[in-house]
Formats: sequence, C-alpha cells, structure tokens
Amino acid sequence: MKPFWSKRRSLDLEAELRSTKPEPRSEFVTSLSKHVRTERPTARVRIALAGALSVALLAALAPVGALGSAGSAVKGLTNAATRVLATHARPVAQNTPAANQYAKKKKVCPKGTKRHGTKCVKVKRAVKGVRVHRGPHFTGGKMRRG
Amino acid sequence: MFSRDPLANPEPLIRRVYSYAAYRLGDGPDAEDATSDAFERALRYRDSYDRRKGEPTAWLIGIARRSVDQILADRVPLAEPPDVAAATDLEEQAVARLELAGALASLSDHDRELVALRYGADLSARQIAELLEARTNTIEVALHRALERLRRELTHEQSNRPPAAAADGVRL
Repeated sequence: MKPFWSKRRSLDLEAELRSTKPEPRSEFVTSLSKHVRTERPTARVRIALAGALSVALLAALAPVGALGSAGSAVKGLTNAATRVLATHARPVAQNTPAANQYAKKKKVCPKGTKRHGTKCVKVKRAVKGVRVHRGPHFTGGKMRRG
Repeated sequence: MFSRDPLANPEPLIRRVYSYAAYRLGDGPDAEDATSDAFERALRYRDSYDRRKGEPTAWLIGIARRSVDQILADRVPLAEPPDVAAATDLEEQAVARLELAGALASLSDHDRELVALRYGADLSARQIAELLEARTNTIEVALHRALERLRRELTHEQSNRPPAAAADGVRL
C-alpha cells in the first residue's frame, strides 16, 4: 500500500492536525458534563442568596425596631414626668377677664429716651449730633445746617 | 450572574481539553483522566476565574497543563516511540492518524505541547504566549519549527517503515 502522506504532494499538516484531532467518547463527554452541571453553584448561590436576604432584612429592621423601642421609652418617660409635674405645680391662669381688666399699665418712655429692657435710657447725644452734622439720609450728606 | 461562570457550557470545553490532553498523552484513558482531573480542579477553583484575564478555554487549558504534566511525571518513560504501521485493511484516515500519532510521539515535549495547545485546544498563538509567558512571535516561530520537524518525521517515517510493524502505539 502506498503511504498516506506520499499521496499528498502539498501536505497541509495544519489542516490534517485539525481534522484528525482526537475526539473524546460521547459517553465521557456526557458523564463529565453532567457532573460539572450538578456541581454548578446553583445550590450554593441559593443558600448564599437566602442568607444575604435574611441579613439584609435583619439589617433593615433592626434600626426600626430599635428606634421604635427607644421612641416608646421616651414617650413613656415624658408621660411619667408630666404626671409628676402636674401633681406638684399650681395651675396658673394666664388670660382671665380679671387679669385683662386690671392689667399693669405699660410704661411709656419719655422723649429722648428709649426702652432698654425694663428701663428707659437716654439716647446718646453723639448719635443725634452726627445726624445733625451730616444732614438727613435723602440729602446724601450735602445739606448742612447754617 | 451565571454568564460569569466559566463552566456554564461544559461540552465544548471538555472536547477541547480532551483534544489537548490526547495530543500530549495519546488518545485514551490517560487523556480522559487528565480531562477529568482538569475539570475537578476547575470546579474547585471556579470562583477564582476572572474573565477579564481571558476566556474560559485558556483558563481551563492552563489547569489542564498541570494535570497532563502530573500524568506524564507519573508515567513510566517509553524506551522508544511506538512504531506505527500501515494496515492494509484500514481506511486512509485511520492510517493518517496512526502515522501522525507516531510522528507526534517522536517530537520533544515542548514541541508536542505547542502542537497540542494550537491544534488540540484551538488556542491562538497569542493565547499560547500568555499561557506560557512568552512573546507571541516566539510562539509562532516555535510552532512553525515544530510543524517542520513533524513534517520531516512523517516523510522519514514512511521511507523507513517496515512492511508489517505492530500498530500498538499512541492511539489517535
């Protein structure tokens, strides 16, 4: 028999290497791919996903729960304090007809003074002098007396 | 999420890894063992796969190289490359495969590795260069030389072939 390679003058070795490439048995491919597919990370992903969701849920609800608890505690404390204060403090009526009738007369400050708290204090002369010296605002300071 | 899984579609990957292993080890149980071992390792390290660094095939062939090296290291070395003879009752394609297997067995480990990566695993010269940490041009030249040696071996083989030698070498 004539050798195979001698029949091909233009030996395309690359094409031969590709075409005669060893192929695995189909049973081998099927069994190995089945094994690979069963080992796919679906189960692990599902477990991880469930765990992550649980953690996220807990993380989301924990502050709400804590805040709610703290809020109710503060509210309870406020109620208790209000009750204690209410029992010891005298009731004070602010706006009654009697109070309005005999209300203190409001003190009016005399001319040249202004109210400073409860007292009337004199307006400083320097302020008045400057205004006189420079003239009223609308003149731009050009109009002078005398 | 699963689109990032390098083993999402295992069948074509199995074929390529097997072809690579068979070119280096010979068609048969050793190649199947190497393929299975490579996939076991890949399953173990699938989380470490980074698709920015390359395609799943290149990643998987990188793993398969170790599996093949392991089997080669454990294997008892052959005294001489197996003889491949023409069998009068075989088809041309089968004869070509046998002759090719014999010629491949006579190549050096490095040459066989290059041929297996290029024509078994169907990796590009660039991918091989990345895998072997060499320059693409170096790989192209080395592949060209390996093919020349293989061609010489094939022509030498057919001129020196005894008329009725045993055909129990590397099966391809």
